[in-house]
Amino acid sequence: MRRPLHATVVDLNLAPMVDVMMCLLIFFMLATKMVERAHSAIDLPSARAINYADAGGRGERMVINIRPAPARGEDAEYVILEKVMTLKDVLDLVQRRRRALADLHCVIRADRGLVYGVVEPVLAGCADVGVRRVSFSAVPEGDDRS
Amino acid sequence: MTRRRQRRFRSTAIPNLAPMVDVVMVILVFFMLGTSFALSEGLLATRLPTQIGPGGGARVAIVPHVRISLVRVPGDDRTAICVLGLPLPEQSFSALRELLAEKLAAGADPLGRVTVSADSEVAYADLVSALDACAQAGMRNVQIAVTGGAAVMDAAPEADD
Repeated sequence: MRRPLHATVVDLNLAPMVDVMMCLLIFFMLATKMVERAHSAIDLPSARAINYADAGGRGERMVINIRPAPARGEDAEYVILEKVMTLKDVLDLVQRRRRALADLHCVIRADRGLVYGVVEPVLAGCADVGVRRVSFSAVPEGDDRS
Repeated sequence: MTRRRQRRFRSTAIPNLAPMVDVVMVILVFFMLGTSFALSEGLLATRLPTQIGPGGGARVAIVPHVRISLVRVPGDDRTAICVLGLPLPEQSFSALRELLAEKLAAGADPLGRVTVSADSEVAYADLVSALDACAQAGMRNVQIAVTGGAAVMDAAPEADD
């Protein structure tokens, strides 16, 4: 019995694919963790002209979450990286970050049911320390996910 | 002879990567979906006025092209929309958007300053709607009018943790 001359065994080399997949996996793991830490569950207002390009986290930014706090007997509570803070602590933190970074970008994620009066002190504090770039998080109209 | 035999029986161990690829693919898809959920929101970009803060006193205040005021109507849950001090004939944010779009069509600069101010009692969602109307109309330089922050900080109540 003679073996056929052109019999070839096709062996798929998976190593480059594994490399790429591992890189993607690490990227998405880190991205998901950052988003989880920065974003609290908040019922955001809706808007049509929102910009998704800035939402990806380009540049140095600081996310300030503002949500109702009926249990605490206050109008709202301020949350940064899942840590509840007082307004004074928030503004101190903004000031420290602004000293370290000239072009700090503050992102306000406030609940749609709040009044502007609880957001205004944050904006005023930002303006006071020289933060100019402020953005407001919103969900696309018709999509009321937080 | 002995060397030839050793060469013949030398085996090369190739790990089978297929199960690992399966597992990594599942984890990858999980994180991709999780990340896309978290990024389902976008941003409305604004700027804060330069008259406040470090070096703000040295700047010359320029009269803004468009001033939008959101005023809480006493005894009513609605928010009144005023442009340059005058209430809009039709009190809706779509009317505000159309007014701004008309100004742009009439030759207004899209980079011209639009200042939005609001009462403390105004719903935050209305402020976002006003900013949204400006952005939809094509205004690129939208600012939020705030008073000096130091006074607000001093007046802020200390919340007890």
